[in-house]
Amino acid sequence: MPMRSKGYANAHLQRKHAWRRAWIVFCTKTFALARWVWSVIIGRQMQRVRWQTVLWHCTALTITFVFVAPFFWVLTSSLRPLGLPPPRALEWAPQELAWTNYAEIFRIAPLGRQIGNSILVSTVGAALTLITASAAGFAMAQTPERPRRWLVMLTIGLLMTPSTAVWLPRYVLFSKLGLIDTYTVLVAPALMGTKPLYVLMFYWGFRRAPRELFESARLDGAGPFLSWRRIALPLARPTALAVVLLTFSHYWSDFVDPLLFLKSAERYTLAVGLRMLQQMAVTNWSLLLAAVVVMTVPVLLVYLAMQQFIRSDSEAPALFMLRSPTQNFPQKGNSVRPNYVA
Amino acid sequence: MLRSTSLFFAPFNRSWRRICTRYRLELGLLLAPFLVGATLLIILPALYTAVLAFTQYDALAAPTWSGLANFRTIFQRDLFWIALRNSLIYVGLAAPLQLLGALLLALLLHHPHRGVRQYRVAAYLPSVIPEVAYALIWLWIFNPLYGPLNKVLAWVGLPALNWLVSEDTALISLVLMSGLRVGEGMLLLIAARQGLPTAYFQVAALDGGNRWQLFRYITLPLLAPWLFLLLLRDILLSAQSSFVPVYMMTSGGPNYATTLLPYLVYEEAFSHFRIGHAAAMMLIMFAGIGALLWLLYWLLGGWGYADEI
Repeated sequence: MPMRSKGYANAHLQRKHAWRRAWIVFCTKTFALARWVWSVIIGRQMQRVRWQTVLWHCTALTITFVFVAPFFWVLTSSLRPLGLPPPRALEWAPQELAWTNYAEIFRIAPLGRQIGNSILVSTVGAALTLITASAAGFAMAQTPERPRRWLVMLTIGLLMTPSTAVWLPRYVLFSKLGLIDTYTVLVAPALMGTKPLYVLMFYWGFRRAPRELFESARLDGAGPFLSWRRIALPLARPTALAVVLLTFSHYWSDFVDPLLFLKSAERYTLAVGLRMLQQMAVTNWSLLLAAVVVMTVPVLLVYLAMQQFIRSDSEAPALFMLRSPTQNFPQKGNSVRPNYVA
Repeated sequence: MLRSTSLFFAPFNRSWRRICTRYRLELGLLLAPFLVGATLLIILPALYTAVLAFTQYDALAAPTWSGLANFRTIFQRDLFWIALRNSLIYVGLAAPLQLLGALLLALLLHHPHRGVRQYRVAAYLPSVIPEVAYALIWLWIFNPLYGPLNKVLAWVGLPALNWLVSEDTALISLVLMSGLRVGEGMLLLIAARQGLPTAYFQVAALDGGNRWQLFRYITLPLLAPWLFLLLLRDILLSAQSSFVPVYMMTSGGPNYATTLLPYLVYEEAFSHFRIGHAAAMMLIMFAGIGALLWLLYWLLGGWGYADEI
């Protein structure tokens, strides 16, 4: 099946029209901006700007500043040249940008190796989670009423179980199995879908799909495997993408598991590598913050990618398990989809 | 003929039943990895922790049963009481702070003004930073000599503080730092706020209610179930998420001022190999969290919502 052809038979025509649409949008926006600038110049207001809106924007900008300023400072401080004495007053931008800091951290610590390990663990973990969590979610959505309610309650109970409770016994279990200090330990949670929340997300995603689809597939002789693979998963593409991205950043940021279960330094992931770097260069903040930036950027990219469909497919509340799936989603005769998050 | 087509006899029809059994079997196969994994990695470990709390175990010799001796020992140690007190203070300050922050942000950012999406993205930003990186960033921000926070205070004209170095402010610093991670609660409350019917607000405004009254008598009661669930979640999370910041930033802090229970459990188990003690502490911690949640549930009279899950 071709990727979303949107009614175009011809990929070339589709691309051409996409460019044409983008060009039209660009021209319209530019024209509107020019008209606005012109109206300001000749002193005629096109729209009355209400002072409440202005106040709202001021407040929101202040808050944005509070939330973003630390990361801006991290970025600029990571580029401060190494030899300089620490700044005496608040420094918005360094005098000169030392991009060599980023080369330096890769020289003094095996960051390349650790990034490789992190990418390996995160990718394998995300792929496995996609399979196990979606399978479990699909099976939960297909089971009859009463066992399903028990399964959902069980999953929510698992969600509530604190992660600190399982550090010790997992250590004992893994050392009994001889798995300590392997990559397997790090991706072991993928066996149960990494977090029960991801299973629940898939469950809600599949419950939203019309039941008739699965019933007719079943009447045509398709088993659960077939309808899971060929009908359910393609339907729940936004959920699947969200889960993959969330899982990727979960394994990328995971610190406790590698700390507890890994022994040899060549298997360390980036999170533990950051701790090692901290112990090596305690006072050298430029280097440390450069490593922080290296660790944070992939997660930020993943987050910005998620923005794209959090907007389109109101998944955001479902991320927090608190909203019933039947409440605000399109049912028969209700085709308007409310837009929660922007 | 009648026997094979009538639905009444369907359960007794052999081929029909075989198909059903097979279908259920395959569903079970799809569910199996999750159930096996959850049993192995969550349910059995949680039960095993409860058992270990009553044994002496040092990770080398086999655990031996010792009854309540672990509990007696840890109750006699001052460190446990210090950690318990610190944890209670931490949870008691951090959870309401996060709830309040999420509520204020949601009330501000639920308006469909132009550019609201960018503001939301910015407010969510601290919540996506990896824990380790976040701890290091704040370790730098709180640095009394080079850190930007003290420079900002000096710029405004306030006296500088010693933050993590001083015994009095170390715990407060950790609370402050966790107070910026409110993105998820904010998204939830925005969704909840946008779900409220506009008619209520219009009618109240027609009757001459001012903004505070609208908030106090309409928004707050209608958001209450969500606020309550969010509070529970914040308590659960902040009780156990303090490990990474403490481990990375203070290692228990000046004179045990930031020794919280998860960190103490880690030290007991993985530095001193007194696994029985660690398990006993963990058991007490979870009994405490469970009691707190139950108390809240009882005080507020139910979950406040009865939707099908």
